[in-house]
Amino acid sequence: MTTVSDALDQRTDDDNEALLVVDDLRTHFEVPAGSVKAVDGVSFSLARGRTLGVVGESGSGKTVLSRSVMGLNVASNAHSTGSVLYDGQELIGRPIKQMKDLWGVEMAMVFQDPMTSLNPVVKVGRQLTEHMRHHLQISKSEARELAVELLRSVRIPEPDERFGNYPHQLSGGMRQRVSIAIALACSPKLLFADEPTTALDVTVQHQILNLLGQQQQERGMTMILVTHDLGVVAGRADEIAVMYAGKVVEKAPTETLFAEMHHPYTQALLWSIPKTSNPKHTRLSAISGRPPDLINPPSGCKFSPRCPYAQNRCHEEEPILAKGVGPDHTFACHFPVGSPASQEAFDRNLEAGLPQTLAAAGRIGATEDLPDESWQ
Amino acid sequence: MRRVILHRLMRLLATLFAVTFLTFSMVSLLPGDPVDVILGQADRTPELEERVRSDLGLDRPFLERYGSWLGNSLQGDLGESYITGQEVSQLIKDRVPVTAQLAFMAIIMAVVMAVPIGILGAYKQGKWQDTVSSAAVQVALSIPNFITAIFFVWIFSVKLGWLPNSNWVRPSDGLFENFKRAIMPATALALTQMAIFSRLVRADMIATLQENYVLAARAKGLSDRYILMRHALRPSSLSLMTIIGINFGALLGGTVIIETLFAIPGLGFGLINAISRRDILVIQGITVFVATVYVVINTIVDLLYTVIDPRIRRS
Ligand SMILES: Nc1ncnc2c1ncn2[C@@H]1O[C@H](COP(=O)(O)OP(=O)(O)OP(=O)(O)O)[C@@H](O)[C@H]1O
Ligand code: SF4
Ligand SMILES: [Mg+2]
Repeated sequence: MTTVSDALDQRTDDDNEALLVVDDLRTHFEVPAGSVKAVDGVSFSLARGRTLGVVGESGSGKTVLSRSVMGLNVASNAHSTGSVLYDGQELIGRPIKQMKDLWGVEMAMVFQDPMTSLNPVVKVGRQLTEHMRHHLQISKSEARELAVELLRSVRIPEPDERFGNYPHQLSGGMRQRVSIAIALACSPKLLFADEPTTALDVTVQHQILNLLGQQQQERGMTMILVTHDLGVVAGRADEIAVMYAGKVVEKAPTETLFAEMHHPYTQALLWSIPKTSNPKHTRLSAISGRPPDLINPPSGCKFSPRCPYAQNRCHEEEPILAKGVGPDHTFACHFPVGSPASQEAFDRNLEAGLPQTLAAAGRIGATEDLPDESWQ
Repeated sequence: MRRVILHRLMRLLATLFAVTFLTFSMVSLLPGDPVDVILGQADRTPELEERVRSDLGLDRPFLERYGSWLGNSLQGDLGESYITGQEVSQLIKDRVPVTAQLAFMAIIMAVVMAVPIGILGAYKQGKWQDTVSSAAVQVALSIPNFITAIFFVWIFSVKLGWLPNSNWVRPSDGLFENFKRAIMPATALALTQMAIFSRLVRADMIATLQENYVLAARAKGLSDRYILMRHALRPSSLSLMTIIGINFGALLGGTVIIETLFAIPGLGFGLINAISRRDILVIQGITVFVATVYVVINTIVDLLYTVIDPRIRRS
């Protein structure tokens, strides 16, 4: 006999069943100089209705990762291996023809720059309805009705009029709302948002992010939110994966990550959250050095040339993703931040006058005036 | 929009002024004396030469001649042929439809062939379909159109006897007979145009397919065919439009060899005749007419941009 609580358990189990399971996903680009390892062994699983924040600086492979999961890496020199299980179906190696049945309906993407991701010569209305009509087999007038409703739900004023506009007749924020409406049109289960606000004004950024979050809740969507700004995912993601050079270097539920981050790179990202009072603050200025060459990455830990804690071991031996103390907390570091070993390593480097350590020392002194409100 | 058109019109007038002046000077610089041609070798006296010269107005200074020609032509009077006495404007009126028909047929055929070939080449970039079509286009581009024409004549007129290769028939005197005579010269002209057009479409299309909005359209699960036709083709046809305009103008004045080859009574054939006879006013009239059409067409193309790309409409 099933009791109510059994049924509830049953339901939670179903709900918690992962919509997306990514295992050892690699996407390499063959170029004359060699193989660009843009995504190099990423694994995670994402339960229905949850949001995963993917954070990393420019070039860390966030876009390639999300496109690889979606199977949308169109470059002819791209090669993806590993496994992407979507709703139990393997997507890697699935023919494009069959992927097209998922794109737009099951999974959709909001692109970074609404200036370039909307076709300038096609009216907003058509861009909103074409895939609805294609996937949902509905008439032109039904599609129009749905589209106007959709425009209203993403808070676009005078949706009837906007329907007949060209993209250039709308402001940047409005265009991104349109892009979101387009992505939501066929009620996808999984939504990718690849830096959906980077191209927008700061004031508009919050509105767009809130809109995304609210739509996600209403529709029970699963979401992957990609950003270079830890502050953006802080209040909005259930879990955060920090990417560096094509790998996830630290992953944890959001609160856990902010409470006890273990990877020096995550720490550096935290320091680089732009202050709300100073929005034009140069991004990621707190991390000295450049992202690594993805064709011939540095030996050992790929962050070692820039890491304030780096020791000899780091240059030789690549750390593997290992479990931390908290539940579901993993990180890849020999000298995790907060451990006594890391403090020793830091002091040693400080004494040796390692530039990134000196810079970090200055930063740590200034941590107190971090703008808490930007990520809470 | 009105101001744009007004602005274009002003530019059009200035261009036409420059064009007429330049052709007038170039035609006067042509070697050979029209008087020689008119009088022939026999019975020439200096008095007779003088009279012909003043009849033709050739004794007046260049600027004066240009001024009176310009004044007359603004009233639609382009003068008369020295040789036949026919009014130049009438001569042009008779010949334009013939050449225009050829040019029009050639351009239409070229576009109809070039757009699918260009799209295919871009879509299958680097694959065998692209290699094969690029090679075919390269061949079409490197064979001069009169060679193609001669080849056609050899097959369809000489060997098979299907198509006549001279004795032009106007459409009004029999549409089918007209078509039988127009198809070979028009196709010969079209092949070169097709080659040029399809290369442009391919190159523009390849660039468009890199655009973010094409990726966004893919991410919506739309079919490739739909994306190519609905999203990529229009942004990829701006250069095509331009070159269609330019080449249509060029075909109006530049079908000389083909028209001569098929004895087609069009502008090009007329121009060649006039040049060989130093029939200055006819040369001048045809050249200015062609140049005018050329400039007008390109102005229209400019205005058409705004139809293709709505962003230009605002600015
Ligand atoms: N088609 C390609 N061929 C070769 N290399 C590529 C290709 N596409 C992407 N890359 C490389 O993959 C790496 C990761 O790029 P990606 O766009 O995923 O970074 P990102 O984290 O999204 O950065 P950003 O914040 O700038 O968007 C970069 O070094 C980029 O140069
Ligand atoms: S392994 Fe070493 S170099 Fe890499 S992040 Fe940890 S401390 Fe820094
Ligand atoms: Mg990116």
